[in-house]
Amino acid sequence: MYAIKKYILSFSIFLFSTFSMAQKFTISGYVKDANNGETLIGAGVFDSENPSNGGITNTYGFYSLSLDAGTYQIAYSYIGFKTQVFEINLDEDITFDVELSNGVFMEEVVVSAKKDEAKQNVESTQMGTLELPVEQIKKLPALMGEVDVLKVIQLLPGVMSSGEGNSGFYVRGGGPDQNLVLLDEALVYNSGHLLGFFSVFNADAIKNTTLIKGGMPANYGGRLSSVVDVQMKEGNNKYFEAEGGIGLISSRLTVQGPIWKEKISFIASGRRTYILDLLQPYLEGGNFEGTNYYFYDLNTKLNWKINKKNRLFLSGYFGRDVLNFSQPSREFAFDLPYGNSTATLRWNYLFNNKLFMNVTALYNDYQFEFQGGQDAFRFQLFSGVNDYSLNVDFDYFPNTKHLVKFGVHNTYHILTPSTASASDGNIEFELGQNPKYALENAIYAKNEWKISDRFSVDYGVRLSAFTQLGPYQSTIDTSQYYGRNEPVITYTGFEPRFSAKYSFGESQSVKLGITRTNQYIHLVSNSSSTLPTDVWSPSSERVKPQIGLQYAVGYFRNFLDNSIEASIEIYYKDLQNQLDYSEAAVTEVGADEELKFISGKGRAYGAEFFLKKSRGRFNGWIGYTLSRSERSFTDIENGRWYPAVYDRPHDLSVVMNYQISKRWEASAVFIYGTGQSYTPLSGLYNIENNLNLFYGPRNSARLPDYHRADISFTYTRNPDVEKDFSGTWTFGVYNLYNRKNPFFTFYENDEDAPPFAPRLDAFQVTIFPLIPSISYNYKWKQKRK
Amino acid sequence: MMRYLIIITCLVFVSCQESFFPEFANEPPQIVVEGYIQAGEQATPSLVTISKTYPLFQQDTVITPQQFLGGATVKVSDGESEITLAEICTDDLDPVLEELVKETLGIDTILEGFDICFYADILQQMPGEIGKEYQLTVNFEGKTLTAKTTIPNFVSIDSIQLMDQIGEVQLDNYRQMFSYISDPAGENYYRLKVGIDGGPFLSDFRSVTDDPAFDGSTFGFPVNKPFPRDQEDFDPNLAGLFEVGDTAVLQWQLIDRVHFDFWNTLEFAQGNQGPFSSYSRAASNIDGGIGIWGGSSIEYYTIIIE
Repeated sequence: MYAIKKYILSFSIFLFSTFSMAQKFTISGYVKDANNGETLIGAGVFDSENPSNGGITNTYGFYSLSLDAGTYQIAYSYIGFKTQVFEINLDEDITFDVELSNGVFMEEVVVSAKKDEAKQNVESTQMGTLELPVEQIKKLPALMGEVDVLKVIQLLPGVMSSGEGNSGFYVRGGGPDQNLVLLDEALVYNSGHLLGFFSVFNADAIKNTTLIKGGMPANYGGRLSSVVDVQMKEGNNKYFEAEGGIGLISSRLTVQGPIWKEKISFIASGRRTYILDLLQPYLEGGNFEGTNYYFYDLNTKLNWKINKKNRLFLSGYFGRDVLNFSQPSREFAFDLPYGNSTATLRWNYLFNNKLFMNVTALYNDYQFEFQGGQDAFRFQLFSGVNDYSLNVDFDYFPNTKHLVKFGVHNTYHILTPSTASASDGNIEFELGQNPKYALENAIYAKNEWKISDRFSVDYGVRLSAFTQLGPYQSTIDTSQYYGRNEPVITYTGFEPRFSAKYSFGESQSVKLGITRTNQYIHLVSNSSSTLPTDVWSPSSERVKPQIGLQYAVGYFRNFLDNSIEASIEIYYKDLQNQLDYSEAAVTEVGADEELKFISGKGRAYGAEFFLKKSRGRFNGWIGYTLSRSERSFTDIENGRWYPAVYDRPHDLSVVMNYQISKRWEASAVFIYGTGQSYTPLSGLYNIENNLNLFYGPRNSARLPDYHRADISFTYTRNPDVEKDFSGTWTFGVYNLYNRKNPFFTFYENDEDAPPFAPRLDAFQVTIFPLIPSISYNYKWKQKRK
Repeated sequence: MMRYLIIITCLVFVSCQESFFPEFANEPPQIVVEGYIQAGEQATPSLVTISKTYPLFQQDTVITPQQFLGGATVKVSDGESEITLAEICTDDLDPVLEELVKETLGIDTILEGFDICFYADILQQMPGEIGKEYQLTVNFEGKTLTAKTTIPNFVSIDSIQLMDQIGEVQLDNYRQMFSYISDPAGENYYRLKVGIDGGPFLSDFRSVTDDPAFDGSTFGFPVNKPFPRDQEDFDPNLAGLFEVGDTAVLQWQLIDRVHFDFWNTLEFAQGNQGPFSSYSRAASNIDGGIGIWGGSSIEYYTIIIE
């Protein structure tokens, strides 16, 4: 405890000693979309005569600039919107809300706005951070026409898909559990539907997505590799609006509008798949009558602007995948529902024009259930995660040189491993473990400091603590039992974060970053994909927290008047206490998973090349990553370093957009990646006259390389006319040249082999050949008065 | 439009399978030991076979059998005394004995000119005893392999019942078998295999179980009729059901932890292929090689299905 106090003390001194105390005034407020009143995240606000005197809006669209007294031309800009400049006479503190419009003169406006946006590439101190507005995502080709935020993220350098068609992803050689996926600040434990082929994020309800793959700032923690911060729309506070889409496998509908104009607005967005509903008539009377599979999502948000100082947001997500399996001839049936629910209540409070507070109460849960049976025999299986969090975050804008953030995060976790119960008429039995309980706390502070026009630093620290709580029966000292809320073990983490930028002239800069992160909750999977049955395990007596240390340097340069952005980033990551299943682990219902874990270390390093053209009729990007990710476990081949499943030495993505005419737009994507590593067979052997497989060194072979091209065309009927109702058609082809990428491989005995000389046949299965898709999206707006 | 949608949908979910030439690890072959020591009235004398892992690139031209290899020295010790198992090779046997050997080893062909060898305690010098630990030592091609196993006490089956099958499709000629045991408190490991009409003893996908779910209680569990693993015409409506007229023999074994771990992991590994699984290795108790040296107490129960 003493150590923590010492940290806080020295840290406060470190933070606040840097501020000078000149006579200054503050201009602050919100930047919004004039069209619907949505706040704009990351909008630029700066003195147009001296752009380094400026900042950007925070997650809630709030900005604050403290400048010397005087008259300024303050510019407000945001990607895709018309930049507005206001003459401000700053002789007292001013509150000034601005609404930006994307106007009628779209083309020209976009050009100038994006120009400023592109500068961020060179000018921001943060490394490895990318923002993806949802409009950009919606244009790209998508599997079965389902627009997916997480799949677009995979097209960025350093981010790799976890498998064919999968929304799971690996960042810079880290595992899928090392990504912090947030939806309105609530943690999403399982971000996939239908075995991960679709993500839980319904693009219609999403405003903005930020990916941080390196140099995670101190206000984020709890995961080693990356942050995917997804912000939901707030709801139009001026007019009613409905939009939706009809696709091959699902339909969507989003409704939003004011409840109390300019004060309270709402948004509700739903999505449901119906592919197997359509097949129901064909199953009737058959062996599997009643079998169905579907998933649905519901996003809702309510937003209340109480007054200038207070705002309240209530948002929620509820999604389920449901599989009903039925085999009437044997009275055999089961239901398998799983999914996430999250609820976020946020209160924004402005203490004054320099200090912004956000208090967040969060609830989230992930549940997996299986209920089935035959006649009198019933079987139930349950696993899940339940979190309750309370976070308080402050943004402090002392002057234009500094932006300070500090806060406290607290989470109470309830993790239920697979728990099963069964009954057979009168006999009942229970299998499995009790839930595990834990408390995760963190305090952090960080400061973004523009030391000069050329040099800036972003430094901070996060102090984290994780306590496993009872009731818990120790598995190390079996006589030890911990009662309710009794601490079992506590781990603490000191997580410094640092990044710096130095610019050369207008269009070049170098950046470096060092980040240390701790992760206390782990997902250990012995499958090559993330599955709904995956169970999260907390750090405990036996399981130590994962620790990651990342070093990165980068060179950033813009060409041709900021129309082309380019960067090279090089990173090295050191990973401690990585978990895996032992090689002889058996999946068993009701066993304590952590007894099967083995612990080891990892390292990942690579270089990322990124070239982006964001302006003009033809735009897009190329991302290429050259990297390695390796692991070493004492219990696997005596600690030999072997390639992790997440190791993809070469990874290339090419994304192109072309505005053919006002009505037609074309997009294309090409992906190439080294094949996934796997453990090859080295021989066969007989036991009880059954043939068994004997495996060679772990991950010492690779599947064939992965590559694929997709295209899409979007047709807008009346792009020039502002209408109440507008529609667009999207035609797409996934896997254009029908590449047979392996989804998995398996072996079969060769029946024709002579006795005592068995042979195997190997097969690969491809699940996504060339797939055409068509979808229709529509939008209705209430008449403007 | 709807029909068009359905056609596309179906296309979408049809996956495509084709031959594939995977990379293989080119590792030297491993020595595989399979040996058992049993206690019980109908126990088989201790029997050990030695084989090697087959290289995967072995082609038709020259067949080098890697199974039932001779030339090893195999010893068993109970901590007090040590015996050497007799090496028996088919070349030395007359046809009647050869048939018997084939039956004992569960094989149906013996290749012309290929010598099958095994190691057995034919004189019953060291019959398995309850509670004793047995160490196996194999010297083969200059290598020494060792393993240990213990024979646990008997837990007999209390009763066996035949029931009509469950479900709306009632087939008069089929029965579901249930058996009941009283599990003693503490860790116990069981193995069950079933032979039909004098055929080989086979198991369902999993032949072993441990007892945390029913520790110390009387427990009933279904006994499924095994089907040969390579059988293709699998009828889900008949799976596990015995047919009236079958004579079923239950081979019921109490095994120790290492023996359980071996079957548990091996059988899991056999079923662990497919889209979302990674490999798993069988937990062998053979130091210096792979395979199993397993002790058990063994009982047989015969039921005529009616």
